[in-house]
Amino acid sequence: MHTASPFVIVAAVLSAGPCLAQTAPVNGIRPAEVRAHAIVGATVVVSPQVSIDRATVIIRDGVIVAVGPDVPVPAGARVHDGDGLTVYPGLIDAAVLVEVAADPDGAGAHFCTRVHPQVAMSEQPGPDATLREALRELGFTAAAVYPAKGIFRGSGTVIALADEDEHVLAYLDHAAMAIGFDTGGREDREYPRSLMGAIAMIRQTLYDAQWYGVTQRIWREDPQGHEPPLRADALAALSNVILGRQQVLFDVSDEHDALRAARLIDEFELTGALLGSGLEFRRLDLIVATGLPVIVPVKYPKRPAVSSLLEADDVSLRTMMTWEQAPTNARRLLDAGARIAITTHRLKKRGDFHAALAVAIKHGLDEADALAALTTTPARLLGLDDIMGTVEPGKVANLVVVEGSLFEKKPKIRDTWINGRRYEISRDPRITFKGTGTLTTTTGLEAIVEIDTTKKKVSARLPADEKKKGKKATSVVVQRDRVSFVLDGGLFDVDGYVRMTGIIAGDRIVGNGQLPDGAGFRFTITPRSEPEPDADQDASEQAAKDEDEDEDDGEDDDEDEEPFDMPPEELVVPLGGYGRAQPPQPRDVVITNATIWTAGADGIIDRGVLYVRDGRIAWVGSTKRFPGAPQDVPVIDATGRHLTPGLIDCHSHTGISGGVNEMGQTVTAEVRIEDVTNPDDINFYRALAGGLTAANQLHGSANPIGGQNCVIKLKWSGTSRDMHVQDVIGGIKFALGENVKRSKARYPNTRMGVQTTIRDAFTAAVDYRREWDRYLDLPRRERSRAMPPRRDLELDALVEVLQGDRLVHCHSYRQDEILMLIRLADEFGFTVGTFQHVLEGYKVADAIAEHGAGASTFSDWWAYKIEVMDAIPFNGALMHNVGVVVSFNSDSSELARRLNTEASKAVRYGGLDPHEALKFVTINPARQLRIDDRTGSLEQGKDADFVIWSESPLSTYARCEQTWIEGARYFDLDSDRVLRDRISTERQRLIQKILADADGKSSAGPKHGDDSDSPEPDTDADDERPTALDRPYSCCWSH
Amino acid sequence: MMTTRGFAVLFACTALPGAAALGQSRQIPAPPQSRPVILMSATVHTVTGPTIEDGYVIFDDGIILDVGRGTPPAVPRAETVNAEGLHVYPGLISTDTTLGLVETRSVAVTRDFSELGDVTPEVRAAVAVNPDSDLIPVARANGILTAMVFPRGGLVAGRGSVIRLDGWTWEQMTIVPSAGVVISWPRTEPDLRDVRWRKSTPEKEQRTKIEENLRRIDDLFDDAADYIKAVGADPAQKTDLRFEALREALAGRERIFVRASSQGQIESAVAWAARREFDIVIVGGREADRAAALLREHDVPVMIGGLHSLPGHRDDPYDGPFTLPARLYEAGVRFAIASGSGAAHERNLNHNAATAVAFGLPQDQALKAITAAAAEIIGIGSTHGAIEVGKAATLIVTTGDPLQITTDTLMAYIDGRRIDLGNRHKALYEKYREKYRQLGLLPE
Repeated sequence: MHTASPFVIVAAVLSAGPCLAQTAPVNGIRPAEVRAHAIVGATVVVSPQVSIDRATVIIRDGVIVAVGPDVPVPAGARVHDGDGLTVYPGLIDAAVLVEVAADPDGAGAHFCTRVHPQVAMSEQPGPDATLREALRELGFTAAAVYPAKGIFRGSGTVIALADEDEHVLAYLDHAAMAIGFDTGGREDREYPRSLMGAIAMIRQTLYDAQWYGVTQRIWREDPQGHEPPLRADALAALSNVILGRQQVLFDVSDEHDALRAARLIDEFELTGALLGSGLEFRRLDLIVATGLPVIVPVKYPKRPAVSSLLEADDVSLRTMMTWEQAPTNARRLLDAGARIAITTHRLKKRGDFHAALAVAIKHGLDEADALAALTTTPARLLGLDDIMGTVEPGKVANLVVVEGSLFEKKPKIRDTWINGRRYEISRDPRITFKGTGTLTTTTGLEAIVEIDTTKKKVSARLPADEKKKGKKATSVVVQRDRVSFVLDGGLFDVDGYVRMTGIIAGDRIVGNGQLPDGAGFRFTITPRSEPEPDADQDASEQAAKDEDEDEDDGEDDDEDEEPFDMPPEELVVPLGGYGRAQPPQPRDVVITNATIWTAGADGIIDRGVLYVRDGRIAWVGSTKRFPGAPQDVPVIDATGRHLTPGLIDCHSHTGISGGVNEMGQTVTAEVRIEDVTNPDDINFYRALAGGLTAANQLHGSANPIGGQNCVIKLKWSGTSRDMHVQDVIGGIKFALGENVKRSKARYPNTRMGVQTTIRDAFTAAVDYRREWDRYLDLPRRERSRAMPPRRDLELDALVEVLQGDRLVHCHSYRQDEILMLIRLADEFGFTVGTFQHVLEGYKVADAIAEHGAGASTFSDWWAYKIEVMDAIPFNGALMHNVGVVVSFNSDSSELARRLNTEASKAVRYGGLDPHEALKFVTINPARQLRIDDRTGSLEQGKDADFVIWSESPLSTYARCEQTWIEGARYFDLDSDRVLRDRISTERQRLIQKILADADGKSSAGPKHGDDSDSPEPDTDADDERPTALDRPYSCCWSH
Repeated sequence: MMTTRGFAVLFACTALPGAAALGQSRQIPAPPQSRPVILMSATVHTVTGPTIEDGYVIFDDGIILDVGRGTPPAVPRAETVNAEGLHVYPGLISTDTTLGLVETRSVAVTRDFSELGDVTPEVRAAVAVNPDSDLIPVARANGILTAMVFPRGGLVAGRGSVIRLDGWTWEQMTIVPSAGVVISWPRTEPDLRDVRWRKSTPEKEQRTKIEENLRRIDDLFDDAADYIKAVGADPAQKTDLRFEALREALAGRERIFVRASSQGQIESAVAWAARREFDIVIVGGREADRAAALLREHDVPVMIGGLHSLPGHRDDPYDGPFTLPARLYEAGVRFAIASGSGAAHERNLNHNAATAVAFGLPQDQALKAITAAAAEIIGIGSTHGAIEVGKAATLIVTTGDPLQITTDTLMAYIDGRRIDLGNRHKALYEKYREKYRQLGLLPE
């Protein structure tokens, strides 16, 4: 019955009849509870779409057997009065994360302690009694439970949130495989230590699982002649995942991690879902386009601190907008077509769940959708929709019974039914008395009293003082139906205190009193002949409502009357300052009368024309010879302006999330910068404002063989995929010298060891390729019986280098190490792509030129460590003059904004021709990155990547006025001003809203800042932190 | 009378064989000026006065004697330098640097700018300046002839010194041994931002710390004042070098340099100085424009710590640090521009000033910010920073606007002494050009 769902491995079979637990012999009297129940006269919400008024639900032996308005109550069934109550399907939490006691080790364990897919939550203790109860009190009846920590964390299980001693079977033994990008703390030195390392680990492990599966099969089918495969429980536990038979559940910390998870799911053709961050709305379309269901938390960021003018500066518009918009997340996901389940996960206090959900509803989430996200959708995601999610015959009797609506801030949940057993959450409201009454005593007193037993308030006055306020009673004690209070003797015309104790009996209170002198009397309080409207009938409801208001300090008074200030519907990308509603679009344009630095064969063209069509350069040349463009193409007159190709930075670490280095191992060729691009890094926008259009995104220099780089164009407000330049040869970072040898804990510690480390890696790659060649050369029949080699992503990358399919970009300083790598590359038969930094390149420029490597250097940095004491600013010019293709790079988000003036240093130091110098930051880096066929110079047919400067780009007075990529204008001074104005307007609006929210003004919308909670980690700040990378002479592991 | 063409001297002193060892610069300090020099036919940029086309500058004994237009008067024994087509400017001044106090940043033993301890006013920069530092000739080659070197780190790092960038010993190099104590103003606002790699310290803890740090500064000066009173009154009072180092500042005879960058820090420092009637200079001053009214009111100048940095906040304009000088200028705040890029890269001082021009500051103001205004702010305004009669003959001869990277500095005089503009970089360049000439890869 569950086979249709990939979630399901083993389905628990539920059937009517006695539980298996009853096989135990009974010592003593056999208990025989009534197992048939009828909830009569309630509003039954059968499903998010259907509800029935005054209906009856019949439960027998844990299963719903009938639902309807005219269903007869079976004889003997226990009847529960449902009058005024609503019955909902029991809620399902699709992701409850529980810490598992210890990581598995021993035989078959994975070498990485964070990879333990063999953990099965069904074999673990699971949520403790407190957590089960907390969830039940919120209306949850079932939960999918997963291990909380690790990369491959283990399989989940779906359980009933019954008491632990119920011994009920799990609904599902093996739910999805939980996966996270956990890299451990800063102290944890175990590989992987970076986000890209975690992603590489996931990739390699999945390949390993595939390989393990094949070797197992071959061994089983044909053991003769094969070495028995090693035992690998961890890999075996992934067998269903790689076949798509078991879903994966990715626990992600922000919207970018969500997209990274989706790419992995896609790459390995897995099935799965995302355990979201609540920040999905920031990249809504992309996340919805993945088609993955999202389990959405209702945790919202802390209200930003903006009351101090100075401290508010630290709060970015992005942070404020995130705070404002977070409650729209679930609604936006649904509107855009995503399947979502709502979870209590990530809430610091689960008890806040309904209040948080109410905020989402206030922000436009439809109640029926909310219910679906808590019932039918999670049931379907878990493959359990045939047994849960609705109130229909045949389903397990999992119900929530609520007085009023479930979707209030504090819903009055009466009962949660799980497997047909009732868990009482709150009893009938206390017996109450509220309103104005007449007090008559046997002493002859008649007084008017105001009583509210819920608030423990009593006051009394004489009828003559009708208009006055009554005298308050002191020491009001209410115990269930008993009320005691003390009145001032004045009312009785005596000195002292008069004590009275009564009982609520029907519509009146009757009791005894005692005067200060000890004389007793009897009293009665009856409702006044003109009772306050509805005082009687709705007393309890009213009381409960008042209570709410009381506790909330009345902040939500008139909630429904005040206009609610809905957050703006349109979101910019990236969210926050300088974001745009739409990415810039390519347009055709003619730019005339500019001084055009082509960086091509045409040199510098005075009074030139650049004609852009369809994102490409359609024509470039002198104005006199311009054949013209169609009439409707707009013309920009750039008289007095200079035009250059978009600048290219051959060494950048901007916008790399979760660590620039994977320091966990000496060789990490398997990690990919491409996996961790953060397109929202504000430094991309700032670099655009300096004329940068493309960059080489490099791994750091902590290890001799680092990770794979990627080449991007700075398409701000686009996606990371938009930014990655497609169809271009990949690269990999190598590093030599001080940085890689300084870790005393690992080989190498000398430049000698650096050479042998690299030699060893390439030797292994050669062996690996040979092993694969041998295998692939086997005749088909033999191959199917042969044990395949293991696919190794690290060696794959090195094989690509050997084959000339991947460029090495090697961090280097001293001439000896530069020469060493050249000789090693010669020996292994490949050509180094570029030497990076290469500050002593001028000493061996002849060897570099002869080998054919490029040199990407700093213009003038030196003296920040010993190996750069011989660095000279003439390096670039001298290498160029000896025949090396030279570029100047930044290695810094700050310097990346000023590469034009870096180029002028090749004029100053070494006397290069200015046009030749400009090539150091345009066509030369393009050549080094093998993108010179499409960018780097202003020549017909190339991408229209260009910059308009206020004057000569080599002048220190030049200012970038416009930056275009592929015919779209990504930066210009006018738009920049507009964006700045928008920031200031939006900041003011939001600061006012935040202040009003802090002040409890409902016009600001429901309070949704969770003060007790720590603020959401600012994942952007991570990427934008002013690192040592930005300092020219620091000794970080980047340069 | 002897005439030298400016261009001919380029590299004349630099073709030394072999690279020098670390911190052993091969440049030979110049002897005292022995006879008058006439720089003629140049464009003379006086900075404080009008620019003179076809001008001349005459100096002797290290002092400028005459500045004028056209044919210079005859001066007996004078060496005449024909600077036709060239430009004369005052030597550039680095106002916030560790030049001479560090050789190789990552090698701890070559770093002498940060003493152990949080409060070390007793240390003074000049005594640790290495005259043979290779970094000095590198800065000098781009026209930087004078510098204020600061100790760094802690709350009170020590006292800065003003030096000339040529001499056999630090004593010869020193212009002002103790130019002022430097205080690093503590944070005045908590940083409550959590990031993936670090959780912020609890707010309460941070606020307590802020309070504590601000109080420490007052306590230090109170203690020192009491101490100085005691020394005058009580012969039994023992000597405390820390407090002695604050004596001049307390007496109002020495200015105090306060490293402060945020608006909160700057306002707090200015208010502190006003309460105590101290003469202060703000160093860094990243958000100085936002405290402009207060700065102007108390006439507190700012030493801008370089322009080449990223904006402090995500929403800030991309060019925030670039436009700071223009905004201070418009607000009427006095300022100098420092390189902000560390001793090895002082040579980019001009580039920092130029960026201010690209982003709105008048060119003459940018030039002032690394000459006359800088001199005034570090306390040598009467002797340096301009081409004026009576001022030190500390000047440069360039191929053009010194704010352009492409401009070359061809000659430099410090106190009338002709300075060797060679350096380690030029020497290594020459050495390896020779390698490629030998290989036939470069023309002879």
